[in-house]
Amino acid sequence: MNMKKENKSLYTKAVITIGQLWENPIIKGIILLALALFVYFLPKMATLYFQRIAIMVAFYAIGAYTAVLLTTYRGTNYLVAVILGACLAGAFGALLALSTMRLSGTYVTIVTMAFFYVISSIILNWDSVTKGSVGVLNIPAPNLFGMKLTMKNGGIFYLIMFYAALTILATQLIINSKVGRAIKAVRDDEMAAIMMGINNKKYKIIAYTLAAFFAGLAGTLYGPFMGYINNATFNYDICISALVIVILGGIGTVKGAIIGAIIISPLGELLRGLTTFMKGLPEWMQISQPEQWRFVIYGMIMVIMMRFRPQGILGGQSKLPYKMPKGVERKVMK
Amino acid sequence: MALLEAKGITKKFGGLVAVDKLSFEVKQGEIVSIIGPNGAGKTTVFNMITGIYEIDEGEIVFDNKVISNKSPIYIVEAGISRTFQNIRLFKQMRVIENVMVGTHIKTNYNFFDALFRTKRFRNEERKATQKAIDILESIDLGDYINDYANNLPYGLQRRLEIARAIATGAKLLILDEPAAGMNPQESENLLNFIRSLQAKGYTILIIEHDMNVVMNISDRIYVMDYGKRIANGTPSEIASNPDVIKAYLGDASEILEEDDAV
Ligand SMILES: Nc1ncnc2c1ncn2[C@@H]1O[C@H](COP(=O)(O)OP(=O)(O)O)[C@@H](O)[C@H]1O
Ligand SMILES: [Mg+2]
Repeated sequence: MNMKKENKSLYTKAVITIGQLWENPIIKGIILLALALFVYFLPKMATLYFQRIAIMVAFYAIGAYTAVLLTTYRGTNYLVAVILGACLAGAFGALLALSTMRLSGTYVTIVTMAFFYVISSIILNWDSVTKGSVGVLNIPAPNLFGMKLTMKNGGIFYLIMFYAALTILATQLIINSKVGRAIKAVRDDEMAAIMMGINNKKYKIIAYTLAAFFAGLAGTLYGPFMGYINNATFNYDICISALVIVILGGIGTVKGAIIGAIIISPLGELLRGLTTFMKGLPEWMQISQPEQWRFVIYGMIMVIMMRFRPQGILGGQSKLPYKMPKGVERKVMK
Repeated sequence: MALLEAKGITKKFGGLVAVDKLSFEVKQGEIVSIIGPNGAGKTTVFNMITGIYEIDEGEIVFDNKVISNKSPIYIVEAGISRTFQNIRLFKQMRVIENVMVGTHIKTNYNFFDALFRTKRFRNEERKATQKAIDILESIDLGDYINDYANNLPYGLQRRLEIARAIATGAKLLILDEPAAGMNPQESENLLNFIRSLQAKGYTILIIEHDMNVVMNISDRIYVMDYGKRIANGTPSEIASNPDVIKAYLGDASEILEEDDAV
């Protein structure tokens, strides 16, 4: 982007300043948000949140690697790479849905966990393509219609906001439709859903594909944002952050995921800030790598939420009335 | 001409013959009950009709179509919808959403209509919502549309299950022990409600333990024991049938118990 400093509007400047100040937590937050949002779509097939999140991280890695390898080594157009990354992740989602379809309970757990490990080991061991533990370096900045979107010109920040808006909008549109209702019905009671004429298999595949697609889409952002990725990018660390986000915010709500992401994402940065603060303290009170203490906080959040508010801050049942489409009439008025 | 006809249907679970060459029919507009002691095979018959179980022998015909061993979805689309012995609502969805799930097969738009909020989406969604509201109001659940299903009192949950079944556009409603767990007042209300459904043209097949309900509501009754049909007839014929009395007195204590099949 060839934006000259003096041409920047006040608004753009403000956005960029905020962006740079919060760049790390916000961008990670949005990526986690996308992950957390779509955990909601995965039906009971994968009963445990953590396991659902682990497979989301696997889809996320698929999206990230596809986009990064294409743009870095093949010079593929960024937009094309993003679409391919998200679609490939989506395809893996469909595949995973198909392969767990005939299984139940424990076996689903085994297959989904195995999926996470398979993807992780492919990334680590397929050196010639993924560059293993060295990872992919010098990932080019996204180039959209001739504009280079970098951290400096704030472009990447806008791009990320756009992704987040797109993800939230798509989630809302899908949830509030017969597709979303069918997915929820299958999740709540599969047998009863079948008895309503819902094709349970079809909607499980749709749910997995959607979840994987959006996780993959989020993944395509990560590479250009960080500038490099390697196998350690997609580890338990990110699974746990996403888990804490949904448990804190509330599983199954868009607002909950956003609130959770806003609270959890900056934690690492804030704790890192303690390093400077601690310099003034006596030696015995100093902790090396304070940001690692976020895991202690995560643990506490999980225990407290599970004990006092298992549905999360905004999860559970909405108190607002159901939003009727226009033109619907109540014949019997109270 | 019968709307639903079962011709010698059999279901075996390993060595157990749960339903043994059973035949029965339900005519258009009738209320027919299936009664019998616990474990007689009644719920299994419902699972056979709705396509949950494959049947080992015999044939089921609905509306001149063979529906035995067809998929549950085919059977719902043909016009049969059911409720469950143990209530199976979509607990984390609202009352209106539960009923709207029932309208699923009658709502004609696809994923992309939803994503782009096309005109077809808006029309169909409005129609589905209106239908759900009309059904809920007709069944006296109009005040509860915003509530979540698992917060409703028991009697209303049973009613919501029926509302959801109606929403599929079914002609034949099959109700598995709808009065189970209801107090006398609630089952009295249910009785009137089922009668009103008959008046609206629905055909109803019902499994029930509550003899007050069965005797008051049924046009005809089939009695099952050990998977076999042991009697059939009008309520007064059944009440005086010695075989029925024997089957029931032999298991009098069990009849009062709840069982936990699907
Ligand atoms: N899925 C199943 N597998 C094995 N046995 C079953 C199954 N479903 C029902 N049965 C058996 O079939 C018999 C009839 O059960 P059911 O139809 O539930 O009786 P009812 O509804 O008349 O009380 C019982 O002995 C029950 O244990
Ligand atoms: Mg039963």
